Amino acid sequence: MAFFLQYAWLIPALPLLGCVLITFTPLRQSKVASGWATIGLMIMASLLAVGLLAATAQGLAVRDGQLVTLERAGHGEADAHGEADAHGETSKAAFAFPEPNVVQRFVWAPTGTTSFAMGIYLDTPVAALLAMVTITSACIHLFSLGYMASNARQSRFFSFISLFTAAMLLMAMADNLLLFFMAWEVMGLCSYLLIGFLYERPQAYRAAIKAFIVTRIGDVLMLLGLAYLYTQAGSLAFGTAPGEIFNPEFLARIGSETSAVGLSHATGIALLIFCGTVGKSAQFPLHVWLPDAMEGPTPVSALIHAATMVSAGVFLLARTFPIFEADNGTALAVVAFIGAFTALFAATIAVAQYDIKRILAYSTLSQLGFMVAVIGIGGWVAGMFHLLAHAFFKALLFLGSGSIIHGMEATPRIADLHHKDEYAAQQTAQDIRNMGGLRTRMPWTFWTYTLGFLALAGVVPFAGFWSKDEILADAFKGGHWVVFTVLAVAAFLTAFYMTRQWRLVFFGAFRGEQPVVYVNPERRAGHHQASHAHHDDMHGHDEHHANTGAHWHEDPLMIAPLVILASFAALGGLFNLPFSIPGGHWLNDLWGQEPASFSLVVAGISLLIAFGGIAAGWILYGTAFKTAQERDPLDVRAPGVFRLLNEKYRVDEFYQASIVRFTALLALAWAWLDKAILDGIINGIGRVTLFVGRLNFIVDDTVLNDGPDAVADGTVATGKRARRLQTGKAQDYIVYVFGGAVILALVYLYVL
Amino acid sequence: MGLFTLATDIPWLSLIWLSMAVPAVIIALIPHQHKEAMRWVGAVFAFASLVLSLLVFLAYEPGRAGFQFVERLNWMPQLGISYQLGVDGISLPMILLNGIVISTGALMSWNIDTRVKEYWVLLLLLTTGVYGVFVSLDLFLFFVFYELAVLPMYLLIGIWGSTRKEYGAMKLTLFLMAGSALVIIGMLALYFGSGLRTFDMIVLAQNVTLAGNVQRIFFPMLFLGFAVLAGMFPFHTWSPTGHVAAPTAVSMLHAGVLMKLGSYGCLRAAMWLMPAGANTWLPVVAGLALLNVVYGATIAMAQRDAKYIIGYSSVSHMGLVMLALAAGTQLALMGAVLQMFAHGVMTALFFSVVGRMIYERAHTRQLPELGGLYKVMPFATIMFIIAGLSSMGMPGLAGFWSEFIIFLGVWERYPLVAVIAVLSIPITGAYILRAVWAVFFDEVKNPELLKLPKLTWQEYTGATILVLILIGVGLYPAILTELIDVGVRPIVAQLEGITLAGR
Repeated sequence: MAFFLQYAWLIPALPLLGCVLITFTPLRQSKVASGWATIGLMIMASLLAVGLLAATAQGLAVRDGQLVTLERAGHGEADAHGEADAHGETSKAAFAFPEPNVVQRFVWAPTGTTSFAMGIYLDTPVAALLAMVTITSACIHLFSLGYMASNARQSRFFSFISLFTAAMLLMAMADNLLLFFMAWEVMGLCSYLLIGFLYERPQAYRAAIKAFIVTRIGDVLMLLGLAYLYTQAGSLAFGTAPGEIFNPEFLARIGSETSAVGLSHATGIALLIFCGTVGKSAQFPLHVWLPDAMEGPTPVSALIHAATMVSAGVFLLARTFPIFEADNGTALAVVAFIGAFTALFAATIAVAQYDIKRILAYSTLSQLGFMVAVIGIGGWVAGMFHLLAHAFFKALLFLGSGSIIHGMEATPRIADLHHKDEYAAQQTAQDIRNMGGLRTRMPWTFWTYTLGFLALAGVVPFAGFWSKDEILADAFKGGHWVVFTVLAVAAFLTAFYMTRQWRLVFFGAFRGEQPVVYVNPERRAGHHQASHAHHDDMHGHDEHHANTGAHWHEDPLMIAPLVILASFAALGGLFNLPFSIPGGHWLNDLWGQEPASFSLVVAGISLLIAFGGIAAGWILYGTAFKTAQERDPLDVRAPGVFRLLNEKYRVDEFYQASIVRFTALLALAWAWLDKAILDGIINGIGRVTLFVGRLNFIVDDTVLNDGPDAVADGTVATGKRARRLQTGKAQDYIVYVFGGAVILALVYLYVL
Repeated sequence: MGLFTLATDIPWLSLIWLSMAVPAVIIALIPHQHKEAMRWVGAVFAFASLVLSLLVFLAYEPGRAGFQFVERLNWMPQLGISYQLGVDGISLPMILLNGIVISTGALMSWNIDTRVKEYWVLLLLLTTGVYGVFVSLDLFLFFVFYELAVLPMYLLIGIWGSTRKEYGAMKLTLFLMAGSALVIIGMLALYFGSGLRTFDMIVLAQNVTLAGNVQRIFFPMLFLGFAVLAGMFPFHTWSPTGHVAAPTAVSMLHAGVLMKLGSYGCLRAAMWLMPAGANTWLPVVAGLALLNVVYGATIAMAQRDAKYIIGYSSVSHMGLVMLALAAGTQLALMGAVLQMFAHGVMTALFFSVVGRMIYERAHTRQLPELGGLYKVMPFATIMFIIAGLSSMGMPGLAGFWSEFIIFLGVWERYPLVAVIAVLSIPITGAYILRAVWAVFFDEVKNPELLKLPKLTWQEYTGATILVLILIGVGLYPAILTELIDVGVRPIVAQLEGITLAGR
């Protein structure tokens, strides 16, 4: 067990090794070899992470190189803060992280009088997160082996997702916010590389830039939050010791001192850090990048935009929670508001989408909103629990959708289209209107997808039920009625849109013979030829197993990860059952937090909501879409609303028209200012100087010139005259010398 | 680092600048048909100067702080002028930077084929001046080297440049001459005003006898004179035009090192010797520098010429340096010096990719005419992307540390300014990624571009050196920050002393 603690740093090192091997060795020549190498390393990392979780669950810790057993936190913690708990369950003022199990630090960059130490800081929430990330990532690596097989750059794909995983793991283990931020940025970079992986498509590259820029807006504000925190604390290290950022006295001080703008320091720091969460976890108003990021290959959507990177934002919130709590509640109120708003906002959009991946993307936004909102009302455990549970079933749903898309792309109509316009073919393959009846055609996908669907919809006893129930229970018992109502409506919509999707994809008749064909507005003749040139090696699924629609293929390499993830989706709730039985409240105990008590009322409400949503979806879409061209029943009933939702409230268009255009105009205006005004002034000064120069020349030439000219002329004339003396004949010179001597002699004799 | 001790009886610092002046003479003596020989002489000596700089860099002991390797000879004692050299934690990274940029720049100059002799002589003279400025401790000597660094630029751009080269060269030279004029006034104020009648910078710094209100009059002149060279708004317009017009190696030196002469002068001459003036005027500088940062980044977005993009990105990044100088705290000044280094290496890499690898082959730098170059030159693509990532502060590259430390420092002094300035980073991301897309990944618009000649070994070597340095500093910034930390301390103490006295 000590091994797992001592060598925890291997967990991020192994995937990093995978990336390095592919990048710098001939391993990349073989797609299969690089795939299996990274999968092997990921599985090793998963085993280490699970071992680490087990070790920390036993309360083992390393102190000064010695293995010790921590006092089991949880109920013990309650004694230490008994006073606060006396106020009832809602009092979360006593929040404290469990004791860290491993802290390893070494000096990094000396800055000023202090020096930045870097290292790892492991406690039980981190251990749980590491286990989740490694397991989902291993599944996604495995899935990519089949899904990306037809891509010529598959080896590079593996190196990117391994690098990404390494960064995520390092972020989780970081012992200070700076290292956290560095790993966070590397994830952002990987996200950019992976969304733009199919860079032949302008849409993909644009989405990559958009994701990078939009998340960076959040990131730089977070960076300022770190600067703010650093100037206050003199350090960014996690921990409660003096000089570390969770030191109680420090927190009390920044909570009470007011800064220049009227907020307490804690509020200012917390809100700036929260900007990072808003960007990375795609909360309103920086949510616009996530749906576009679906342009990346499906495993990327599963890994980055469902399971890990977007959860990093929530994890940041959870990690810096003591700072959010240190002020008078302003920061957390903002967090709760943004989270709840996003949960509902995104859920409504998801109702009116046709693209299978975009529905899941908006669903992710909405679920992240749940997590953010519940942390905002103090439900730290519920937020983290939902983060872990959601990662498994959302990764499952994304991979399932990948399997479906993979199957759809092989249907004759889409395979035909693929030869003409590869991008349009893919968009057509992702349209749920073109699916239907896949239940019998893709049974494995159907059953695993169903488990994921039930978990997301919140049906007992699947993972999502327990975690979502805990969120609602926290809101309910805390008396946060607004948050509770908003989240309840969002939960209803979640069940509804997932049923719509599930029903349209798997039930009814297959509509793909007459699909709604996506019209690619970007397709230009030149572009088409260019992309077609390398079409065969890039996107050649269809050549390998072109099927007739009767024979649908499910790749075992793609099914295996679905089954693993489905088991977590089904059983994940067992990790934190809200009952006081052996094994109940496991995560609460593990994380040393007060267990939430189970409320039959809330569970009843939440089940009612889930079944209500499912029933509504089932009935409404039972008879809809006999053919792919039919209108959506909601569209028929409320066309205006449906269009607004379908167009995502036109937020993108609004940004395009306001911020983007403003910046572009500003750029042009300033460029013009630079060219016309500043350069104009410079050139003007130049011209004036030249003019003054001419003027001076005239003055010089007419007035001042003649005197010196005369002097010069005189000199020249004298020279000319003097030259006559020089004849070059020795006799003449002798005559001169003699004459001179005679004159001197005469002067000497007669004058002096 | 104090890794080893160098023999004290050898004038190491003089050797450094002589290692550039001597080959200039040698090349002048080589008959003009031996072009390859001139290139080799230039490149070998450039690397020799890099090695010398590295030796001094590694032998400097941060523990002892202060100026080391000091050399002193009387030059014109009647006028208080001496030949005095020395290095500290601020000048060492700059010397190293100059060594890096000239040696890689020499590699990137291999393709210059007209008037080879004149080109190399001028290039080496320019570098001599730059080395000289960074090692001088006498204000007069400082100025002599400074002029030596600025003047060859006119000919280098005017003869070997491209795109409105005469205009660019003339504009640059006039701007810099105007700056020099202001510097002279400031210098004379120090010389006479202090009553010391000396140009010795150490003496001038130790006894700041110049009255506070006199400093307040002359600080703007001295500072502005140098700030013109650092490209401070609104005196920056010479810089993008100059960058664009210059041949590759000159762009590299120009943006990579020459602009740093300006900020170095601001720090070493103006802020160190006139701290009271600095305290009064730095808030104004902060405002102008903020404009630089945001304005430069925004304009870069509107450009179609890849070199203009990098030119304006330099304006923006040097703005960060000036902003940090204006904040004047320990962290901010550290960030400023580190940013000078990081930006120097990064922008040299940018110009070698755009100027040498792309323009010399494709004969265009217009984004709409390029596209799909990833297929022909994947190496150049990766180099450009890494430079771009450094410029937008990606962890693991040098730019991250400098920008992070600058924002820490600026936040301490001007939080609101930091908030606005930080928004330039996403904008930087936008214009860099847009350029990456348009140049390397967009569809191929001109099939001729697919037949471009392969990169040469000089290009591979030069770019690889630059990239390794970016990554090295990014992974272990302490290699520089430790030195810089001790280097800026006296200046911070000088500034703080005035602040305390002012209360």
